[in-house]
Amino acid sequence: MIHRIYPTPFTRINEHWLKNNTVNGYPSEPYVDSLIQDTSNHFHSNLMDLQSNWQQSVGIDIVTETVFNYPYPQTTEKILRPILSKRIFILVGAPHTLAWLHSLGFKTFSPFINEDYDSLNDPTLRIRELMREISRVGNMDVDFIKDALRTFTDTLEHNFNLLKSLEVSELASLKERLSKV
Amino acid sequence: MVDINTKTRLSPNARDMLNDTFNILGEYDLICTDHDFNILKDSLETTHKSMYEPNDKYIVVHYDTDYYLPRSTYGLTIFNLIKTFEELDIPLHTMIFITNHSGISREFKELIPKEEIEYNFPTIIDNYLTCFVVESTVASESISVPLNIDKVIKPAMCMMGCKRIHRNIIFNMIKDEGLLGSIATSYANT
Repeated sequence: MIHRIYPTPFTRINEHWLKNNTVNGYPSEPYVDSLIQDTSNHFHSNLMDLQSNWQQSVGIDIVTETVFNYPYPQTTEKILRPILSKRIFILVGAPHTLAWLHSLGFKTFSPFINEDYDSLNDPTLRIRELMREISRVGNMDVDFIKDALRTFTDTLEHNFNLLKSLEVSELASLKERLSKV
Repeated sequence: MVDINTKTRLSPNARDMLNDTFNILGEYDLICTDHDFNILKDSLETTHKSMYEPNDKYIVVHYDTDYYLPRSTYGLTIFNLIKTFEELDIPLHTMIFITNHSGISREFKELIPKEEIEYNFPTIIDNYLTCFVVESTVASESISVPLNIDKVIKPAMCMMGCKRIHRNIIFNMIKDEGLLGSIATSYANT
């Protein structure tokens, strides 16, 4: 009998992926922009947090998912925020998460956003690629981003409609699957 | 913190559907037990049966980060979950495992003996974006807001709550490159 293994409570072993301090991963002091109105709640426990008016004051939502160095796409409610607010997004998460979203029918924003990061398994290479892209969009002119939003109108509406109907379609799919168990 | 003996974060619609389909013996959220699987073991013992009907099922939801030791191909939570069922002699096919880890069945295949996989394998639900968690299924109640492109006043936003190394890196980069004015940023580091 192989017995259970106890991790040290609340440690994240998979957090220790950064080698040689090639990028600055040290914690900093908390910070909040005055534009952000629901800072007390990063966990999006209700619809108001996922679809606040102020979120439409920006063009691109840089979503930092819970996991980064991880063997699977693991999405949480955080990725729903830009879809419900109809905004372009960059996903700082596990590799192949965008590919998984594509398999579910969602569309993303290449080539406006360079999404090559999604296919990089090495966490250091992936974070560097993401840093380059975030730096690029952070330096974009707001009018340029507005034009991009107009270009992607159909994609933003498609993603919203797909997400809104997803619980019903996923429940139906699950019911069919479980009928065969 | 969700208590092991209270309802999990499974959406009410999914729970109702599972209860209509199966005889649910228990519903467990691994966040309550991932630091100590004796909590799950104690709870499972109260519903343990000497013989299980085909319709008898346990619901296990896994919506949180697993622990991966260096070079390990499976997470400690999945390892401990399987061992807990095995220690109690509960067949693994009684488990309906619902998760937001897309592709995690590979770990079960690695940990369950090959000769048992065909007849003693959990039902793994791992390919749904809502993953039937309450926080995500609220999207179905959302309203279609206008695009409001003219409201855009900054290029981007980035919200970072719990302490994670990738969030440290992104925040430091935004700060060091002087982008805090153009990327509306929240960094809690809690």
